Amino acid sequence: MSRSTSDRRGLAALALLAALALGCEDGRCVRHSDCAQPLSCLATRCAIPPTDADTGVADTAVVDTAVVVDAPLRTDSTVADTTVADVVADGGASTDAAEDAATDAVVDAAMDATGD
Amino acid sequence: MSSLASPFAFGALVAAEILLAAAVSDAQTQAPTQFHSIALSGASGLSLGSSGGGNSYATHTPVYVDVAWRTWHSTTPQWVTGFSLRAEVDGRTSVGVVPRFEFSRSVGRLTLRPGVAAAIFFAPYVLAGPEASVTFDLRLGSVVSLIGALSVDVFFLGNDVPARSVLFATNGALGVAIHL
Repeated sequence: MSRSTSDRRGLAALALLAALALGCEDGRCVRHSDCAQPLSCLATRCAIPPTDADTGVADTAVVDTAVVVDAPLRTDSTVADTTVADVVADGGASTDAAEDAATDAVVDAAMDATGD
Repeated sequence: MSSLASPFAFGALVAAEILLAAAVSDAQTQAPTQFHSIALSGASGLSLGSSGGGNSYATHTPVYVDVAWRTWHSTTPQWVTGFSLRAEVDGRTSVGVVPRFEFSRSVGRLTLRPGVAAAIFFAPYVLAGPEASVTFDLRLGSVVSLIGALSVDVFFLGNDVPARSVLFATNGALGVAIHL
């Protein structure tokens, strides 16, 4: 009985180690170097870094990186590149606009894919 | 009288010679000597990032390669100093140095070395903090030994650490050492 319990614990530990070995969950981080450029690690999530002019924006600047990072793969790269580049050029000031643009790009791509 | 003294004198001479030879032999084996070793190991483990607001996230530590040089003196073999060149090779490439100070205790072929160090990655980004470790050194021969290590790092300095965050890492290492 106790042996099967310890077996289960061992398997659980093994599963945890295996899960850890698979690497970071998308968009999660513990260091800036865990994130692809130009993103930074903010509150354990990869996000567009705020600038000095946007003091206090850090909390709202944490955007869903699945949208920002994956956009180039799903949409016209020109649109996506422009979106990220504009955000960087703005120093992160237009984070909401960037998020809207990236979301629009994903929607456009989805519509293109369905032929609408 | 002289016939009685002679055997005693001879015996005393032999005893003195034996004592002198033992002393010379002792001195020769304990001649001050500086010892060195070079170790190559690979390591990984668990990293936990903790930032303000209760945000924390755990993931695996990027695999790193550690080349360590250690030295100690025969008169104080329990105190070991040295440093490592360390390179992360998993998902990124970075290099750093790890100066360390260890206490060495041998039990048969196994040597345990608890110690403290400073892990300092300096390129392409900076990540630094104190490290505590225990190294196991199992002698396989007169020159080669198998080594393992468990370490705990706390990184809070450098431009790779997110603002208001602390990074904890618990790692295990395995490798070989060559005693020079």
